[in-house]
Amino acid sequence: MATMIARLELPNRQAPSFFEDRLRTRPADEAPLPDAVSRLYAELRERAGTPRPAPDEQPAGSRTDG
Amino acid sequence: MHRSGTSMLTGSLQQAGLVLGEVVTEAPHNAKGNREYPAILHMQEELLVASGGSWDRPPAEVRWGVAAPRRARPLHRALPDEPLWGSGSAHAADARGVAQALPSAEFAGIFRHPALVARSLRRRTGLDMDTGLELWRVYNTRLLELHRRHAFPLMEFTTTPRKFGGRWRR
Repeated sequence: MATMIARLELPNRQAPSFFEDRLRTRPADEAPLPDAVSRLYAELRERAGTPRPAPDEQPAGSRTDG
Repeated sequence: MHRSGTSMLTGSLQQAGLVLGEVVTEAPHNAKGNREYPAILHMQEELLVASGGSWDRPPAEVRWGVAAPRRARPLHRALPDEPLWGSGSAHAADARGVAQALPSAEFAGIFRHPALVARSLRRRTGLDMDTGLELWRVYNTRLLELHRRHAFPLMEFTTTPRKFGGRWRR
């Protein structure tokens, strides 16, 4: 869940291509999330600065990520 | 949290210049490996067991106990000659101990849509969706607590590569 690193000032700050091929848009899940999960997800998104999704934007992920 | 992009984040940091050492680069369910350092992974699993839990039954509190210095050895021995090294983990519950063992350590975090995590867990481990969502809640509550304490960079494993790249540069 968390990645521990010594320092974040890394030499190469260009957009990574690592695992790029594995990022894929996925369809929205059919079932609503439990309230506690939904609230926590919203707070994490806010802290991460994730833009609010467009109405037609679906949650995304990967096929074989980890 | 497992299935949340931790290996992608770790691999991306590695690509950016972070030294990971001899990490796992190939696995049956993860083509590019989880990018975890085996000794540190073992330490985390040992901590979970010693605390009466496991990855899918996370204990209420990870107990480093009186053996804390011994348990933390892998953190110090991983890459002692590297000025800039890191380690990826799907666990956040042990992060408080990591912060104590390595006061100069900094964190970065990633999370993923709950339903996608639960679905991935169901596919890989057979856990039902409700159990997967509850695990997501437990793990990510700890991520949130850690973020409140340390305010590290946090990102969502989501969207297209182009959007991910934009967030990465921030």
